[in-house]
Amino acid sequence: MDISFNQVSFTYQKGTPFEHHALHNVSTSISSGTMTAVIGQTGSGKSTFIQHVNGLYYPTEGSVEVGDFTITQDGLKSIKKLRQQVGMVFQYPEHQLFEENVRQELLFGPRNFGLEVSDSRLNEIFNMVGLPNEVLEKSPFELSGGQKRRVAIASVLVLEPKVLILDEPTAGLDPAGKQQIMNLFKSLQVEKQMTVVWITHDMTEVLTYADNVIVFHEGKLMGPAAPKALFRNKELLAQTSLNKPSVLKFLDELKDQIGVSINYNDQSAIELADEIIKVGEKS
Amino acid sequence: MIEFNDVSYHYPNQSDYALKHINFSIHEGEWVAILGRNGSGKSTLAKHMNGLLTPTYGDIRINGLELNEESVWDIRRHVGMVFQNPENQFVGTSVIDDVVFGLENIGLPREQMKERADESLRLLGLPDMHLTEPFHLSGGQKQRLAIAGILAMRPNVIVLDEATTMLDPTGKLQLLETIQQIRKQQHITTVMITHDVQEAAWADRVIILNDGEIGFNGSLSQSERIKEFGLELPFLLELTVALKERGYPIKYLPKNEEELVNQIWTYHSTK
Ligand SMILES: Nc1ncnc2c1ncn2[C@@H]1O[C@H](COP(=O)(O)OP(=O)(O)OP(=O)(O)O)[C@@H](O)[C@H]1O
Ligand SMILES: Nc1ncnc2c1ncn2[C@@H]1O[C@H](COP(=O)(O)OP(=O)(O)OP(=O)(O)O)[C@@H](O)[C@H]1O
Ligand SMILES: [Mg+2]
Ligand SMILES: [Mg+2]
Repeated sequence: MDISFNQVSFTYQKGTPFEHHALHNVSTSISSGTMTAVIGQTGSGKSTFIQHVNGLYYPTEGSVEVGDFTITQDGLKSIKKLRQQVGMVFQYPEHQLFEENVRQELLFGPRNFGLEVSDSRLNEIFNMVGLPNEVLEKSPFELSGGQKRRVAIASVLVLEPKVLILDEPTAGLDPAGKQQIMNLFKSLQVEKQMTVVWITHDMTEVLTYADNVIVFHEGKLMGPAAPKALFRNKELLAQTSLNKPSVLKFLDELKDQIGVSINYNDQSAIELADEIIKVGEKS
Repeated sequence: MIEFNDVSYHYPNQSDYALKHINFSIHEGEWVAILGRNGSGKSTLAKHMNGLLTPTYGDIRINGLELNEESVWDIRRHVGMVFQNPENQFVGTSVIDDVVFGLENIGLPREQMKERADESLRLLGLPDMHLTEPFHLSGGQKQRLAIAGILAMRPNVIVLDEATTMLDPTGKLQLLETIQQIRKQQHITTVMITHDVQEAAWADRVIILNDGEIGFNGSLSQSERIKEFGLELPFLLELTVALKERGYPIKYLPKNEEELVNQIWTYHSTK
């Protein structure tokens, strides 16, 4: 489903002394079937932005369109239909786990929408997120941090949504788990044409997986841009205090300090090591 | 400073032990990173360091003192712990109250409280949010507050349980630099649980947990072994290892890109 934000502003606790303008006149569009990273510093408005996509917040001004649904300050009558198609994983998985055991947790969404899910399908999803089957019978509160994150992701995937909204889905995952989960999202995008929007602080993840990047800075949106173009945009990086992925920082340092210039074309660390050796032999 | 002697732990109603025969010690002023897969026992281990969990078998000493029912209150004043979910440790109704509450608990004189709280919030980049309710902070701001609250208490030992997972890269770097600074000034012992192997390069030593057991205890520079435990090397360390394998004289693991380029440069300029 296509997503578009039309001049959206959002204010927390409007009309109180704690009023906070979290989004300022945000307009952007995200095409169906793409994978978009949302980045920006702490408190820049990322979570506020993506929670508009499944109607957890209504814009104070402007409108949000998701497929045929339009959300304004008056909300949306068919919000339940929207949420069936737009799955959301929260920044803190604890905020979405409340059932007695993990099996019930996974069945909660389908039950709510009147869907049947077979045991074999549950096991399959569990496998995809890298959880052992015995965890199904445990209480969500008896899990480690990373296990909770994986359960939260599984409980959204079980609904087979058309749009996946993920708030820092890889925070707290071990390195192998990070790769597994990001590869899973990528394959859902490619094979099932899912639209994936995810927040991350890991710039290498952005470079590896994103078709497009949106940057938030003090409640204002910049982009979208292609990752490589974004990381070449020095002014924007400086203005928004963003970091480059490690590989690009390294290549910059190499050029600035030693005058060795190597172009980045998705080389692996091993391939780069070989290139550096070659350049070293020549000099 | 911290000593675990054959510690095993079993959660009630669970079939398997979460910790099995754990032995290690960490000396005063040392910075140790703890790595390991999801569910390998890291948080369980951390909760033993300030007596939140009591070993099923074995014993623990903190600063020479055996951790038991009598000593636990005293030990908690010296061991500051930042939980994996910062929301579990908020007690105040505003950001400033939350930090001050911790200081009241350790009996700090009133005049010093405000100063310390201000300083700590400034250090963590939350200076303008004193009156905000902790639960109205963004995800990363919550983590910053949790860390600020513990740093303000100036404990002898700081245990950070994945406390930086939601910080932006600049914020993370600032925090690591802050830790390094206060560690030098105040000889604070730091235990940092993390999945970020690059972050672990800041520590003096790493301990890797594997299914409740210690899989590795030593310097990260022996990082060839790290993959055995489900950990991938981040780009910079993978490149470092690859260069070393190709005969580059790598003297130390780089904390950042500049430190690797410096080593390459030194090598070429002396060749
Ligand atoms: N309160 C609990 N009751 C029962 N079992 C638990 C409880 N907390 C954790 N466990 C189990 O103990 C094991 C170790 O969990 P722990 O939280 O220590 O892992 P961890 O290494 O911190 O993982 P992560 O990286 O995901 O945070 C896991 O298998 C987990 O399911
Ligand atoms: N419930 C709330 N009430 C009032 N202000 C809020 C609330 N939630 C967030 N804010 C404020 O709105 C701003 C944007 O918050 P948001 O959660 O969108 O940030 P973020 O970009 O997701 O940050 P992080 O990377 O730390 O998660 C922050 O300054 C935050 O303090
Ligand atoms: Mg957020
Ligand atoms: Mg943990």
